[in-house]
Amino acid sequence: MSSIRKYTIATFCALFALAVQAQDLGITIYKLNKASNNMQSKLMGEVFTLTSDANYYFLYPGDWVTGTITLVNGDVHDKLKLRYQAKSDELISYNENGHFLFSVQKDQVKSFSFVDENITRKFIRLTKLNNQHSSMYLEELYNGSTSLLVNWYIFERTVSPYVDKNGLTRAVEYRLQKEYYLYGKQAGLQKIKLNRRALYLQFPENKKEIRKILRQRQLLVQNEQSMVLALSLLKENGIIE
Amino acid sequence: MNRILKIVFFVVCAIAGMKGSAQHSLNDKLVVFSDRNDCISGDTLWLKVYVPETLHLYGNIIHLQLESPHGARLAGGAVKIKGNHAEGYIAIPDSLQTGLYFAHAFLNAQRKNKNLQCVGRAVYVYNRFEETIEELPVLKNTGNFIPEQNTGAVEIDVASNFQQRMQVDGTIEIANDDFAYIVASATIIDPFSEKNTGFLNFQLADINSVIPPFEEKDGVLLSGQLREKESGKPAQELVLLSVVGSESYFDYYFPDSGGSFHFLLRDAIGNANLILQPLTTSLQEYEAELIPNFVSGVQKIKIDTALLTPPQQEAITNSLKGTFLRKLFYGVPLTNRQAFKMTNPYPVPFFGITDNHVVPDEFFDLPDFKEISRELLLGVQYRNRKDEATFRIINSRLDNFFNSEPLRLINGIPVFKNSFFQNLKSSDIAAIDIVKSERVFGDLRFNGVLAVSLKDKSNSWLAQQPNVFQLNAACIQFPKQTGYLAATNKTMQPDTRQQFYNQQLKGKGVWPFQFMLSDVKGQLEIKVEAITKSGELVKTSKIITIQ
Repeated sequence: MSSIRKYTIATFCALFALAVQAQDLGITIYKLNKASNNMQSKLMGEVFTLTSDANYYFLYPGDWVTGTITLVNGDVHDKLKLRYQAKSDELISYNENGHFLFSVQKDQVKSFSFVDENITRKFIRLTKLNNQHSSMYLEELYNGSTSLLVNWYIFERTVSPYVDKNGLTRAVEYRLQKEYYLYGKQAGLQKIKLNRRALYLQFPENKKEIRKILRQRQLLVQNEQSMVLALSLLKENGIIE
Repeated sequence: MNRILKIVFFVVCAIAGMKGSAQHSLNDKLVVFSDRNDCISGDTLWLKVYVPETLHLYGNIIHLQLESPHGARLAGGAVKIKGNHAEGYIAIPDSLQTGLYFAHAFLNAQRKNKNLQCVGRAVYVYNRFEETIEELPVLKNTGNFIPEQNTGAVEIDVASNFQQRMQVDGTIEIANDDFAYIVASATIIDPFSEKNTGFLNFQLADINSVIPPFEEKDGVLLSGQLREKESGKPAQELVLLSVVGSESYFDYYFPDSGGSFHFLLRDAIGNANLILQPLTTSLQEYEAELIPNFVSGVQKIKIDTALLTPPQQEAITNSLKGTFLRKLFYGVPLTNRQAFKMTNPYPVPFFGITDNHVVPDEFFDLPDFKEISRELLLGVQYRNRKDEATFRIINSRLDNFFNSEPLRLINGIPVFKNSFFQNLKSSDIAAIDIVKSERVFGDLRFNGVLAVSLKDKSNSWLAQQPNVFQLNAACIQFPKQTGYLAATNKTMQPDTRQQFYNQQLKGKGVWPFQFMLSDVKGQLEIKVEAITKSGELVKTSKIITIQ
């Protein structure tokens, strides 16, 4: 018992010493170093408290991955540990100097990207939608005058009570859902399904041409890759810019 | 004999190669054009700079500088590049001694380049209180001046004789597209400076090695040093920067072992009033100073002295008298040296979007901050016990109060003494912003933020505070056109202008020009100086006589 107390005291002392804080100054600093002095710009945000729910159900990818944030002023912050919080549509970053998580100030972000299972995923922040102010992250699968974007969101539904990984009884289930959109600056966001009909509806005046192109290439539009390929073909053939 | 021929051949090849490289080098260095060869102390020297495309990777801010033959920076300024061109001015100090000075320029990211060169100008400054000037310094080796070749591709069409106060109308015809950069100017000839100035190739040397070769983009780099006041030793406390007038901006720098700190003031134009503070809980007193960003170019320049001939003396004396009369009749134009403009480089204030914005004027007057916090500031605890005040802000995410002080700001400046708030009346305050969450700015964290914006922006409350340093720093110059005094129609007032025209020409074509002459008689040179696309310096000029 005595040794447990000793260890507890020692641990508290170590934790206290680690956090070199100037608490009465109103600014908490940790072990600052050269990397803290990013002269171009600093990342801003709010400290994020990680809950087990968020960790298991809301954050993507499943673990922290290295990524890059491009800010609205053009500055690039790379080699950051990132995850996307799909429930509240926030980008979460890990500050290695301070050992804390924070949600990055959305207004500051133009886009971010990370590699998830060998796929580079790039998210952009949509700032204007049909002339309305907007601020939502969407994954960009294809970038052009008509872009293919994906909205990741968490669908919450009531289910029969069950015991989760942590041994807790739950009556709700969270599922990551994806909605696909075609986005053009004039047309705004158009929700679509991944099939060729979406393209006919988007470009009704070129319906015959699109059908011909897809038939010639024997392209069956049914998933993300085939839709991206279809949009590339439309660009090649001058249907979209 | 054969061997001698070989040696001669190699020597000729080497000389030709050297000459070739010297010509070509104008395509990879800054070239500074001045609007005149001489000026009077207190004047403004207008400069235009050719920025070759090869230098665009070094950022878009150019530092103009005026250097003495002894290697001292006398004046300068930072200007922004537009395409292959930048222009700005150097205010010649009023008390500067008569002598030969050098105007040149550099890009900060180039400062560590071992072979950093710039083509600048030698300029004479005559002190306006001198009565007679009998001798002047000159370059020991006039061969150092870069020869300006004559070009047949530029033609200046203007009459040869004019009377005082007449209008000069003419055209400059550029026959082809061989030029990368062209500047036309018109100025009264000062025979001495005309003969003893010109373009010089400066080998620039980094004087302040602590300044990093940082690529300045849309802003100037400010460097400085923090030291312990008593021992003079470099200090490594976190340095906080606030800019007066930009309450939503803030930055910090953790100094290196030499105590050096650096800040990029992006989009800051004019003269900034900075507040620097080391973040410390100790009683140690510090000193902070800014280091001027300067590279020297005079190491290899040797100076001699030359006696002036009577006509040369007379021209300078007339010029000095003209300046005296100009100041007497027109006064000194008042420029707002303190003008400053800076947009916040972040889309929101550095402390985030506020949860509450309170304007005390919308409420009853309250006598002190205790009453203000109690009546107007929801979620803010202000306690005053035994003359010690403490603040606590509610953490709206967790619905409890933070157990440490929030970041407190007055006019955007971090404040570490709560006593500053005690006597603030609601009538003193323009607005109060509160952030009720744990904010992050870079590697710093704030347990809530309380930002008080006073109606009085003079920040007099900072006076005499230890470890708070108020410093001035010149940022990017406000863009200005060459501001020659306009011609006067009043015949009773003397018009002693000596510079009339200074313009960059865009390329092939016919460029008309016109200006009004002054009362100054003598010879006026209209010249077109240009850099060809192959990197040669060329000149075409026409002399007109004013009777």
